[in-house]
Amino acid sequence: MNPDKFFAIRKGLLEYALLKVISSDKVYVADMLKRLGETEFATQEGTLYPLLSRLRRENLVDYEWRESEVGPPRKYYELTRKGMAQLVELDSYWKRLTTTISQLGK
Amino acid sequence: MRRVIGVNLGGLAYQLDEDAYERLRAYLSHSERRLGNSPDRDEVLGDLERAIANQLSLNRSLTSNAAVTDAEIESALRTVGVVEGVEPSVSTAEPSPASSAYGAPAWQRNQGEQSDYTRLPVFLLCLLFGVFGIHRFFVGKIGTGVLMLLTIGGLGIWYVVDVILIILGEFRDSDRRKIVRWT
Repeated sequence: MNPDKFFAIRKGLLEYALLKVISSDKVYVADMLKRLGETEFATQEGTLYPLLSRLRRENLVDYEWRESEVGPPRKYYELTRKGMAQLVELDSYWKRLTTTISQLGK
Repeated sequence: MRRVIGVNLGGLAYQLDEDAYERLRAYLSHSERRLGNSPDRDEVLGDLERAIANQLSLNRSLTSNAAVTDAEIESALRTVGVVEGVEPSVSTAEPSPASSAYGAPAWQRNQGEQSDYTRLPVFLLCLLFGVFGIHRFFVGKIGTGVLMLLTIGGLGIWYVVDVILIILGEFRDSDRRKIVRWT
């Protein structure tokens, strides 16, 4: 099985996965990379930052600056009210999708 | 003495050696092109600079005064990764290379990218003076150009191969970018 066949699926679901990660806590990008890195959604900053900027433009996430002891200041992200609503919607949509898929197989 | 260049990355000052600086500059301008006219462009570029600075500070001791080397920058850029996932509506027409252009071996560099050279002049040069390798000199491939000149177009075989490659749009310039556009 060619693993790249699933690339498009993972890419499409990355936003959902990311919203999930951010919903759990106030996180900065290294935390997200670590959480996602343990999964199929392992990714890099070059992918996350454009996505986060878009999510912020869509008012789904917001961030605050915090100083870091070693490097430059960091952005800590959290979901906005709209982001939480979107995540709830995505959750139920995802459930519907998996139900549909499993029924198609019967 | 090697030249050292001072840069400001995410508000922190770094001394980069020349190769490191060139690599960083290439990465940032490539990222900028990938972001096109996205409204998030400046924000993402700032984020990437901070991410690179963060990588650099993680990997070196605070007291180190040595200039950042090319290897350090390469490792930081590989961790940060190439800009991906910019919406097509706002990205430029540049085709996206499948593999990262940074940290890849030289023969893999720029594989998915298009050359600034156009096919028509290269094709005409090859057709008329190809046995002397003139088209290879023209696109900056000096080494193989000389070789072609000395072997009189590889006894004509290499010449024919190049003509066909150019027609098929598979011929590459010295930066290994495909020469695709006709004019």
